[in-house]
Amino acid sequence: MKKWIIPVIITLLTVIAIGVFLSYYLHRNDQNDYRQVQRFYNSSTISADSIVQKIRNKNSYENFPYRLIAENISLSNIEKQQELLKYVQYSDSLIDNNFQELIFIALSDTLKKVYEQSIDLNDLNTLLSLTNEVSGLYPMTLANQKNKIFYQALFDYWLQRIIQNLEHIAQSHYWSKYTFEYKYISTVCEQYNYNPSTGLSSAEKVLDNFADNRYSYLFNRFVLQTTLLQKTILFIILTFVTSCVLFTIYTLLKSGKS
Amino acid sequence: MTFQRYLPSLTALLIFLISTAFIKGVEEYDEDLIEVTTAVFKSEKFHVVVLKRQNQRISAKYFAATDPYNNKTVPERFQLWKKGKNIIAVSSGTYMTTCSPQTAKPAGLCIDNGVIVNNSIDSRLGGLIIVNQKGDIKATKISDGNLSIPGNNKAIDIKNSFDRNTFINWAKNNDATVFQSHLLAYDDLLNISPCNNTQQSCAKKASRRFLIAGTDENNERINVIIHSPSETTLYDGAVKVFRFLKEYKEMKSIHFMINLDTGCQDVFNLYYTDGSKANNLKGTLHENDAVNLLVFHYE
Repeated sequence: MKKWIIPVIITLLTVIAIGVFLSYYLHRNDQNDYRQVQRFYNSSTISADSIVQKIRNKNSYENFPYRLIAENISLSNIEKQQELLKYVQYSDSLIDNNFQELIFIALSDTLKKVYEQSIDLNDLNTLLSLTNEVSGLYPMTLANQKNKIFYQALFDYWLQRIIQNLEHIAQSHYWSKYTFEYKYISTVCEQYNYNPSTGLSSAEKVLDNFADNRYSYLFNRFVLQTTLLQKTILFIILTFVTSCVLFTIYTLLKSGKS
Repeated sequence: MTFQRYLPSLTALLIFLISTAFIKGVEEYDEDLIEVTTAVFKSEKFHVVVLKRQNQRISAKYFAATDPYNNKTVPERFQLWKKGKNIIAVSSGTYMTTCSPQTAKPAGLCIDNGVIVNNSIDSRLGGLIIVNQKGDIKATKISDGNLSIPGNNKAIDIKNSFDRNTFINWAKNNDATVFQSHLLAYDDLLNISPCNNTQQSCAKKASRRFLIAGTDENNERINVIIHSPSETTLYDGAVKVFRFLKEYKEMKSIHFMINLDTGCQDVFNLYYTDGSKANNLKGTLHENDAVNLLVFHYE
């Protein structure tokens, strides 16, 4: 074995060790919050208190790992929501109440990016899954706690988006509002007092009124909303049809007698 | 002896006469505060009801939906509420999601006396109307995002979910009544664009009814209900009425003009001072068929 090999290996190992140490040290601050929050969401060993304390000490709210939370959070995972709530409650003690709003904006914006990049919100099946997911947030909006407005806002944000997309789908594909998926989603939304408003065509209005036996109303609307020419044409048609019916009855009766 | 025999009957008659006079007195309202006219302006006919608000004797009340606590429908709630009150006019308010009274819900954000009826904002309706406990009607332009509520220093942007929840919680705690409608004019300016698509609902022609708040030529606060019987699009109708108010009625300022639905639920009644209804100015539906009602009354 050559004499220089051992010093070279030692030197190389030292350089590698220093490199690893330096890269670890340099990135530690950036990674620390990130990993702690990740662990916070993956296990119960890291407490919300320690993370908040960490941020409090560093006084660096701008490093709040919104994206990580957004990506890790499942809207329907109540347990995670409760942990996040704890976090938000603690965060409130750090600065004024606007922090709640900051978290909400960051979360909703990030979730919007995450969802809209990965899924098509104009597809009824996807919208249906999202509706079920968002429904999981509802119990949190009822809880009697200081920060429930955070959950109310997040729940409202997503239902509003669902309603908007539902209305958009109904306007671009007229018959879609008679599908099961559409009816299911709108029923769930209505359950939470979010009523989609797709507007009604004239034919739908007439059918609605027929179904409710509002004949006098329909007659009034007809008289008010038609021109003299339209009324005359309808009168002629009705007279013709009535004459035909009467003539047929007369003919039948006459043939019966003979 | 004869007089004593008839004394109970005479007393009963006297009580009856007094009570009748009293009941009649309750039904009356000050005619000077209401002005009902029909005018023709640029060959368009307008039925106009002007309600003078300067001394706070005229108030508004809005019934948005069936009471969730006792399941009383809007007409039932109205019939119960109006006892002992002098009703001036009733009209259908905002748009509904369907024509069927059983399933119809108000379109857009709607809160009835602190009870949420519809949480969802309808982006097509630009005005948020608040009927406060005093019976005043106020409108804000949603796109401005500068709604103010007591006890909140920050301007509220109703389009933002966080702000909207702050507002909704305030409305719940303060029994506020809120609904959305087309904001056709705001701060003395028209707030509507011509309809570009003939297929859309904005191109539909219909008779129109509008509610306006502003000041008259003497700078006194008024609310005006205008019924335009001729068939126009919403844009044409709004422009004509705006010009009519400015040029013919010489209104000093128009705070807001909103649309009152004359579609599926065309309810309108004007009451005379003796409590009877005007036959020449009414909607096509009876009050009992109303799905939501905006009521003006005299106190």
